[in-house]
Amino acid sequence: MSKEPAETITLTARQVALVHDFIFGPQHRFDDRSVCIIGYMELFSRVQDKRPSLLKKLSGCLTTAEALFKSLADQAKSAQLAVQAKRFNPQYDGEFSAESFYRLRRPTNPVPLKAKELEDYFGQLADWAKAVTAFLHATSNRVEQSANDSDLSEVRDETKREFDALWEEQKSLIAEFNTMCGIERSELNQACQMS
Amino acid sequence: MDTALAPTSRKSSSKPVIFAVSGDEDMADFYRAALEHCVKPEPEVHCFLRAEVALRAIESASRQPDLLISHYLLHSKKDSSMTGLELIKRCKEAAPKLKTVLVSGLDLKEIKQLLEVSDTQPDAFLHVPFDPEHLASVVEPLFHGDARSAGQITQ
Repeated sequence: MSKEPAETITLTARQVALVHDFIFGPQHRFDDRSVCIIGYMELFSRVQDKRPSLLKKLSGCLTTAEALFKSLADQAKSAQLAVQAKRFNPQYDGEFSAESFYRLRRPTNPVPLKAKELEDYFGQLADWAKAVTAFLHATSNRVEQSANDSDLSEVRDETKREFDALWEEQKSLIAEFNTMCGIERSELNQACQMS
Repeated sequence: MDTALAPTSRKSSSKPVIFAVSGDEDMADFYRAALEHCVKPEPEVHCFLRAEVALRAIESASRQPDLLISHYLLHSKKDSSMTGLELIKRCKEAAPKLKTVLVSGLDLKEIKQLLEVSDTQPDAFLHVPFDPEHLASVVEPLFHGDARSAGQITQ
């Protein structure tokens, strides 16, 4: 490793788009997860005769969501470590994630990013995804404990509040990434479709 | 999964028929539960994970669905490259009377821009996240041909 860390990392627009695709894709699915989880809690409270089946679906959704965000946290952590490796060794040609956006090297529209900023950013994203994972795990436990209750309204209200807070954080993180790259979402979408 | 998720029942052909398309299996499953429990009259719900399969089902159906609900973003690495808006356009070509609802969690400003340049418009729009009550309030007026009281894009 060299002693002087690199100040910038240059990614092509395509590479930035792939980061968006691989890492932000699951993050966007956060909204769908909240619809299903809160929605099943609502249905549980209003539908009397199918509670066991609704509870099973709710538990299934929570489990899937937990696995999704655990994987997102792992990917973001891996991206953080890869940026760190590249920052200290510009020759480093490893992968940011299992699905490596580094394999694609289109020299179009290079986007210079501040290396330390990008590394910290992925760290923040990993922390966010870990917080979501922990929250989903705790919610699963609460749902399991409340399975005999006539309704889940208290759990639902708290879950909704927590989802709203995490959603706001998610929006800030995406906005921060776009600002850092100086790229609008429409450009990212266009770059994603180039492949 | 390449096939439609089977409806829970085919009891009555007089029930309104809804096709729901989402690339996410949990979400597709949720549509069925929410629509069947909250919408009056209770519809027969068919869920699809792939736009192409939903389109083929509409093109070949002996009875056209009354309503199509589709997410805007449907594609993933191994799936369709069609967006929900493109699916709506192609389904309307096959079934001109079909009512449609576009669903998205994208920023409303971005959705408005997409709709402005599109030559197809959904009858209603549903912004994610939503709850089952809101889903029902968007869907039910469409059964009665009242698109104006269904979901519109509002900031």
